[in-house]
Amino acid sequence: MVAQSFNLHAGTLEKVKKRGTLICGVSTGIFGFSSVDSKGNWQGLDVDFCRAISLAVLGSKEKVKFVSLSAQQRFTALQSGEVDVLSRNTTRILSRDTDLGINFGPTIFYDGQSIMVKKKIKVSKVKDLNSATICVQTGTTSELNLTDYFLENKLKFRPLVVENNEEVFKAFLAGRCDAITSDSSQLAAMRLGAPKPEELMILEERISKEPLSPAVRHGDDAWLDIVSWVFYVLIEAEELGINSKNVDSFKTSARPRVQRLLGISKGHGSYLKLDDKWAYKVIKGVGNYQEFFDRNLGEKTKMKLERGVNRLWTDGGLMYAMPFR
Amino acid sequence: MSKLFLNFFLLAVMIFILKGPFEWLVLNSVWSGSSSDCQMHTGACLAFVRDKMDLILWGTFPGDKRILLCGYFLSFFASLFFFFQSRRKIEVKFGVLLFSFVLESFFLWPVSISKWNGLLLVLYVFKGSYLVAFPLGLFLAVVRRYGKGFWRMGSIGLIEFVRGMPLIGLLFMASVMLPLFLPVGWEIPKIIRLFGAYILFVSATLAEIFRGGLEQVGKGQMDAANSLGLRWPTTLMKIILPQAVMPMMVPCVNVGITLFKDTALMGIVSMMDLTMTSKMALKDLDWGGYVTESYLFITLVYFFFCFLLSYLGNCLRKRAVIH
Repeated sequence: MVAQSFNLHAGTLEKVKKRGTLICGVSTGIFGFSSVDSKGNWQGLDVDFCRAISLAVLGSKEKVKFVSLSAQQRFTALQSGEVDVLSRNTTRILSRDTDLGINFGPTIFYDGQSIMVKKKIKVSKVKDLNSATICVQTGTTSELNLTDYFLENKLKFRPLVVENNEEVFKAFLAGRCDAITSDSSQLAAMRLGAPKPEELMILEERISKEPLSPAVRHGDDAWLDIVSWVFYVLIEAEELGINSKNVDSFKTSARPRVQRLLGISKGHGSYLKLDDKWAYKVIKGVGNYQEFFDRNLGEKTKMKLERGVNRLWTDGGLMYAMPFR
Repeated sequence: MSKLFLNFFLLAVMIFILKGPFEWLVLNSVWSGSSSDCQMHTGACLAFVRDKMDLILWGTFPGDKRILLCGYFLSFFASLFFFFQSRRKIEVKFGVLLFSFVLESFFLWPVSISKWNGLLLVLYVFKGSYLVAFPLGLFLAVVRRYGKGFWRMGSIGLIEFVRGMPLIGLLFMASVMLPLFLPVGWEIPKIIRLFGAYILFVSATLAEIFRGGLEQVGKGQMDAANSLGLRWPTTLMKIILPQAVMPMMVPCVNVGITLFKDTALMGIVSMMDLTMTSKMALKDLDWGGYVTESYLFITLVYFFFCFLLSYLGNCLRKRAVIH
């Protein structure tokens, strides 16, 4: 019954166009990815990606409705059609990709799980944490990774499983556990939120790979294409040096690659059932991946994350746009 | 002598217990400024609550449409006080409540439902579901008491089924399961589904309270009405219900207060109620996570409304005694 209903949800693109709004599943508040500022506006990497899709499909970045979803609820919300796309700090893994009836788009942020400890317990490697109590949030891949990693390295630990992000951190600060584990971007944010950040330390080892990707329902390939290629626009634009500020000056560019991307000569819109200016609108409205990163996670923000593996492939990173041909 | 000693002892204990919170909340607290001011003090960071108050109370409700909220609250409080303080018949009171609810929905209409967050969502769901649940509960109770055959069995089945389910289960069914079972292309907005769950739950609870009220009405009353030649609907409306409902108003207000607090369960199915918006407010790197301050604030908001409701309910009880 549940499995059947997935295939019946084809035609998200038509649904979104008809409705005139994109419904985007985001988190209930994750630093740098999706959170609400004091004025009630959504911001973050995942949020900006939703805006990019909205720009491509509907031509405006304001036509997005954000639905906040908890870690446990996110997949049902997508399956039941409550949201059109899930852009919620979600790790792409085999079981979710197959069993849950969802499909993942390209990875928009490569994260990795780490462990944070208090400096005073004098731990520098994960191996030193043998038989420690470790706080972990339930319903995430962190729980599983932690168990795997400790089993592999023949270490013992006691998990302290808590439902909610703040409560995990509170438990850690209160000394109920010796260490806390989560994606390293999240740990960095948590550390900043602590009363005394200098007393906390994130261990250097990454105990897992966390490719965070947007997800759509199984069986709606046209919609997945749009979500994927909107992301490639962000990377392609960065590769070509186009950003939201200088995009107009590229209109006169003689390079065929630029002309095709911005829809000056015959573009790619018709393949995706969008108009030829779709990529132009995305870049003009929200910018390229570099701008995404700088605005939400980079040096100028409080998160102060390094690009790391999220650099372009030409700089030795993993971000690679499929050719626009 | 021993009494004096005991008094001093208790005073010492109280000072010992309250000293910490007092220092935290009053002496060392920071009322204005930024995060760095808060970090220099050991007390409560109330500047955080001040900065985030709008977000906690209204969530993503657009700032330029806040004027609509004035209309909403005017109508909300006016109808609330009218309901509890007026001496008119209960039908009239409910009519006014219903009218005000429609009026409030009309006020809020220009803003998309997904942006009715925080306190607004709590109050809207509370009022809307109680408003529908009250007559529905009464109907169920009457059918259960006086109905026959299929109707009676249906009413008993519904009441017992819903009462046997935890509210959170109903909410999960409504928010997660129901959309999976609906035919393709059918979409019921989430808020309507949640309304459904709350209405079912509260009406089943109220039905059992009303049943108690109905059973209090002596059989002789019915016989007297029959012998006067009154028709059944008239008997019900004029004789039975007035005697059955009025004594039950106080427990009904209690159910209302419980419902008000239960609206916090919406957060679990990802609706942006007060708890969720306060969590959202914590996700700001300009401020550290001032969890305690933010929870304290929503505790006060909940306390205010629950206290108001129970105070008004008390007035109702006093008047019922005088009558």
